[in-house]
Amino acid sequence: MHRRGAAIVTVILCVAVGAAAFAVPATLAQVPSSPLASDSAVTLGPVNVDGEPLYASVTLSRGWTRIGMGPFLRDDRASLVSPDGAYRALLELVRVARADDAGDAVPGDAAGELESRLASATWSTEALASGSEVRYTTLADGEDTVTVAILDPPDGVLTGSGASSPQRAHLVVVAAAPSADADGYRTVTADLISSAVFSLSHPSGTPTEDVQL
Amino acid sequence: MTRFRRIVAASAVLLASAPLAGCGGIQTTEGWLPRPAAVAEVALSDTDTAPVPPGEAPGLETRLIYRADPAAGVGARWAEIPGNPAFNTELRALVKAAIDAQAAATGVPFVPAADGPADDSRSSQCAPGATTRPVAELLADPAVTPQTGGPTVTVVCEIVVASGPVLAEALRIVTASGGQVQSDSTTVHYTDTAGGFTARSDGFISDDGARTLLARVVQSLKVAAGAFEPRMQEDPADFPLEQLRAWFSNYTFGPDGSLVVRLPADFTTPELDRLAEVPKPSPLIVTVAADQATPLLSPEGAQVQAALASGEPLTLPSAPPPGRRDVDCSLFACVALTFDDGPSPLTAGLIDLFNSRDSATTFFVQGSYVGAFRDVVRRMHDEGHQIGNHTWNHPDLTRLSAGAVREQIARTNAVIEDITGSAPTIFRPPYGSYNDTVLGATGMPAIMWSRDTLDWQKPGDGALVQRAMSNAQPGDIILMHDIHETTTRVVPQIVDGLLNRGFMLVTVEQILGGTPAPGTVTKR
Repeated sequence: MHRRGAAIVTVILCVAVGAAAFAVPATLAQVPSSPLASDSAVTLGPVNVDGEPLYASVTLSRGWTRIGMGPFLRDDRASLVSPDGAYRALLELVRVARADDAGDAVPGDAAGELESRLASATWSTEALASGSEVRYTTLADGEDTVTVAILDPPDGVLTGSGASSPQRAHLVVVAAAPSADADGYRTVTADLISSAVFSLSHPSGTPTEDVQL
Repeated sequence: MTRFRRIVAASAVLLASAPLAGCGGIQTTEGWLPRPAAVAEVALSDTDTAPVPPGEAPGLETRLIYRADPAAGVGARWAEIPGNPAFNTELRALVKAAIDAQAAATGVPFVPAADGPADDSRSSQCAPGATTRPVAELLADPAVTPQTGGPTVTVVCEIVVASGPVLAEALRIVTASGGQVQSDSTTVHYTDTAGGFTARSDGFISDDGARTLLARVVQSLKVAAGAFEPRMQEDPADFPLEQLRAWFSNYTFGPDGSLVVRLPADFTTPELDRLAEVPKPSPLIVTVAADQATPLLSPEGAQVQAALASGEPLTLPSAPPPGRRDVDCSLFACVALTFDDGPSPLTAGLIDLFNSRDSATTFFVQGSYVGAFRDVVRRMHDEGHQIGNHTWNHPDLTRLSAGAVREQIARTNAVIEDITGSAPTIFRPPYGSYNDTVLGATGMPAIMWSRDTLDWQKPGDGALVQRAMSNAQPGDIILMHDIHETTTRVVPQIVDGLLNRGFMLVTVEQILGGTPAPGTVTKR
């Protein structure tokens, strides 16, 4: 009787654990952290580019919230919400083969279902004071206005990123705000973009000392 | 711990986190707002907010050269400021250069001409919109361009600023051949009307000011385009100054001192080219607020800005009357209208007429009449017209002795000098009758005429206009009389027709370039 009960409990647990193992990582990825208590950096990476570990950081002000928690988060992505909760940005550090890095394609997964519309979008390109170059476009997505920006590391960050290098890297930012207020949030995207820093070592020295969001 | 217990513990952790995962919303920060967007440093518009140019201004002298030579046509008019030789020389040099270039290209030397349409006053005027009028219209307008079918030089003018001591004139020079435009350029010339400075508008923005203006225009266009970093990233110093001057050549100042720049349609920079949403209004008008504009300006530019902001009416320097100004009868078609036998009750009206047309004439007066018209004679002198001696009482001098001739001349000179302070230096013998005795006795040059209207025969208005105006040629000295109402009533028509044709109405001394030697006869 005792053995039979244990078997039943085991079966139930196995079913529960299996279900949890499938559902929990995705659920945890949607859980907001506590808002930042002070101005801090969010670092993505490393992403291996031609054998070099590339990091990308953006600086956030107090009150920003990172979405997602737990051991299942990808270290090349970050989902952020502005302090007023109205603006969301998905950041992704992407490595691409140079051969595939052409035209107006958006590398990585961040742009997701917008990809087909982005292919026919009108893009702008800006050289930033940081030395980076950013290509971007803006389009309506339901009740939101979405800005997709693809940021390139400044020349010289990747020592092997010459013209013949087979790989490149981009920081992709997909930012959404309600269309009615989208113009006002453009500076938020601008600040994210302008604060981006690329490096071959973790900005805080070791990844374990990264800002806890 | 048994394997079973370990499994249970791990499962418990996983299961315990499941409800946690669903907990909690986003905590927002009350009062947080996005950073305000950068403000455009200059205002962009497709509407010209600059004050409407006056087009013309009172008190200026409009010059006209109209030559309907099929081999070398010229239709040129521009405004000069009496008493501001530096400004006048600058504009005249531009016109002469265009005419000289035409002469060099055609092999046809320039000669003064007055072939303009006598009945169209537009031929001799600066006009609002003249410098922005479609070039095809300019070339097809007979009041502006001789319709010869051959090579032409067309010059039109527009007063774009007239305030306080500052005047700006836009001068447009179009060269064409057979109606096909060969060149079309406009320059804007600013001057302190009293002669303090004369400069083209492209000199009012300093070199550093042009670079700063470029940075501000680019910043403002980037703001309008929604750029992430609106500040101009390119170095304005990398742009050639000639390029900047070309972009910023068309501007004026608003009544509040703001700088209003009309950018050319092709204005762009490499970094603007890479932005998808840069506005492209046509025209692109950039307005720089007064306080931001001042640091961009040269000292002369700042002076102009201040003068225009004053809103004062145009002030012109005092200048000698037309009859005492230097004239260039090798460039302009000069004609001297002369009136014999007065003064009379009709003479004052003629003085008024010539003054109102900024022109001069010559009166050969009889001394016996002077006493009754002292004020008129004084006006002749004071208002710059020339007074010649026409004897005391109009005798045929060839019938008089030398002494009698001397008395006729001396007595008349004395009465004129008594009124005006100076005696005539020329005389005209009554009936045109003279001999060596007369020439020797007068001690002055005899001034005859090249065209006699025979107005004393009262030929009718049409005939008189035909003789005095339609038949006039450059260099003519034309004889009329200011004692006949039938003459004086058509003189306005004659004067206006001559001016519309392109004549400059001058005194005998001006058309001769001075006073001939005593004892000589000038017949032209």
